[in-house]
Amino acid sequence: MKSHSDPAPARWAERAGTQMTEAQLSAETLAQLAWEALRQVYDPELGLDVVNLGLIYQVRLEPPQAFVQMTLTTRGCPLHDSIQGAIQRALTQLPGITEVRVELVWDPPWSPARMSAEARRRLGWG
Amino acid sequence: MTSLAAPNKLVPLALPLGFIAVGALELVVGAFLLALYPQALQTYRHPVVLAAAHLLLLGFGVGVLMGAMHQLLPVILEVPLARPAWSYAALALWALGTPLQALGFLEAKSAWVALGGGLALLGIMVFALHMLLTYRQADRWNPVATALAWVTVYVVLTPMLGMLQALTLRYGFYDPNRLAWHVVAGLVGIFLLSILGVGHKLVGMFTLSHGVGEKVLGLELWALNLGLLGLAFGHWAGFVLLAAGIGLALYDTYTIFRHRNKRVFDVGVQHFMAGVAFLLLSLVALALRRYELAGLWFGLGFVGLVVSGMLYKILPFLVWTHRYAPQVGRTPVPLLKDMLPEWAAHLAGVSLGLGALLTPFTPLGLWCFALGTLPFAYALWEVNRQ
Repeated sequence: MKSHSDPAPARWAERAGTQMTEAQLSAETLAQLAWEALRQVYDPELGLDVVNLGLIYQVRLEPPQAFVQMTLTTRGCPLHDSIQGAIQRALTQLPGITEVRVELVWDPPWSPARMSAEARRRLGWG
Repeated sequence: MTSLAAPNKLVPLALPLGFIAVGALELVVGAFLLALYPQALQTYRHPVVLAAAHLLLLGFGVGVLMGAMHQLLPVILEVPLARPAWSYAALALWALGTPLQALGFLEAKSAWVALGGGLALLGIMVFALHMLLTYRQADRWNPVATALAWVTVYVVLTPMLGMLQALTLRYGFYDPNRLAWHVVAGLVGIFLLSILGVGHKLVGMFTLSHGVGEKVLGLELWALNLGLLGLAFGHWAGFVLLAAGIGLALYDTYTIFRHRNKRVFDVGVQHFMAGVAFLLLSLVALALRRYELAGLWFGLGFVGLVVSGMLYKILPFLVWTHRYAPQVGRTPVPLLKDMLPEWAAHLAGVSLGLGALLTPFTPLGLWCFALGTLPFAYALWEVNRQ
């Protein structure tokens, strides 16, 4: 059984915390942790995460706030309620992040060209 | 994101689940009824045929359609359902009416047929009114919504024609042509339009198809609606338009598949493809004026396979959205494909398909179809049990 989303960021944060405090956590490390956390948020139908699907347009981290701009593969498929919640839960597990805002946009529209090579491979084209 | 979740406001799980569960039960009962009395197929107005046809089409087909529309309409129109509470009344009336009507046919109790049919029609009218209020909220419109709007009209019109037929049989002014209207409105108006319209959206989502327009679907709807009118009045142009509509639907389906980003077809999409093959077979049978053959392949093959296949996608999503979505990010949750026992779905598909294909030629086909409903029901049960 594959996990749709795994509360792993907390573990990474713990690991990172062994070497540095939250205050010392560099912006770069926090961004890496955020992208890793987003890679744990899966589309339950495709079994692909939102990063590899190319749905995330922007991630901005300004502790204690985080902002994510994203799209979906097609209009009128509002799994964004679930995805929004999942992204909020995933990112609030990062050190220093307590508030997450997710914005859904349709411009620019998603296209298959935004998918990673890994996504294409897992969809059977590799 | 390939999603069927309704926007902002979740549809209560009990609603679509109730329609689907009762519909699946009526499929099993209807299929075994035909298997036990295969000689009934010799006469189209045999009580067993009437009971089974209503269980399979008004029970299973329309039930699943009504259940699925509670989930689909908000997705397609991007608005929440207008009055979800009304649908509990629709569910209760329809779920009570359809078995009573079938029992009335079997026991030759015209009062039960009238009462059951009346209750089912009332339930459908409440459903249609609810859908109408939901349509009115829409700011954006598209051909898939048009298809569902037409389906909503036919889902009311078909039982009304049936009731009219039954009443005139008792009180006079009986016209055998009206039976043809009832059948054509049901098979083409409800099932062909809903399957091709919704299929355009769903198959596109399930295969992650991208860049397919909706113009062909729009043309398809014109052709099929006008074709239906022609068929109802027995005009040859009706058949030509119907064939043109189906041809456009095949082209549309081919385009969706050609633009897909998910290479492998899963079990639900495989069922859809097999169902479309049965649609072609029924068209050929219709051209050869083999109406019984066309009806059986359409009802058992096309409707049976496509509806069961789409349920393998819709039901896991419904259950996932209600049971697992709130847990995402906290605990590991399954993917949709993990929720469906695929072996049962494949077994059901082979059995239903083979049964539908053979039924016009041997009673064994009916047994094959009836036995196929069991793994189908088991697969749905397992999804819900998760």
